Amino acid sequence: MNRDELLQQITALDFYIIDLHLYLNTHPNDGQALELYNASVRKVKELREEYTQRFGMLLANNTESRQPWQWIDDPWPWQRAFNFNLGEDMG
Amino acid sequence: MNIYDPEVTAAGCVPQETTIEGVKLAHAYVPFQKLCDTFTPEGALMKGTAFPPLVNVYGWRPKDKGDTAGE
Repeated sequence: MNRDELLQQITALDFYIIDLHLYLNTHPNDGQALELYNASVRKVKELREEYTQRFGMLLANNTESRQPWQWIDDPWPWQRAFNFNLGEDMG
Repeated sequence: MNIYDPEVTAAGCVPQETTIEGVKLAHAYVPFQKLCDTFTPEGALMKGTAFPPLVNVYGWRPKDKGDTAGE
């Protein structure tokens, strides 16, 4: 998986997790939703670790950095070059 | 097993409650959602929701260029 693909999967899972979180607020006993939520949280945690190891920090907080400090490496997350294109080919 | 595969869970599933009891006049009611299946995470990001029954529930479509305001 290249950097864009990895970032896209992390973004998609983060969004998916938020939507399940909202559902679970009103359906706290829905085991199927909770299973999907937990599996997705585990998956995105793995992907985030892989991203950090291969491409640097996604967050300045709670993320380990190699030497030298990685956060100031270009591009910044809010710059166009950092982000993937949300194309028609997705899902 | 792909946990996001709708084939696994969606067969014959109705994604909302179909009877609301104890209704009163002049009160609005929203049927409770039930989980049948979800989009894949990538599909959810494109659609703006993880839940297929919540896509475009008000029938929104992009306006044609010729449309005037208020139509």
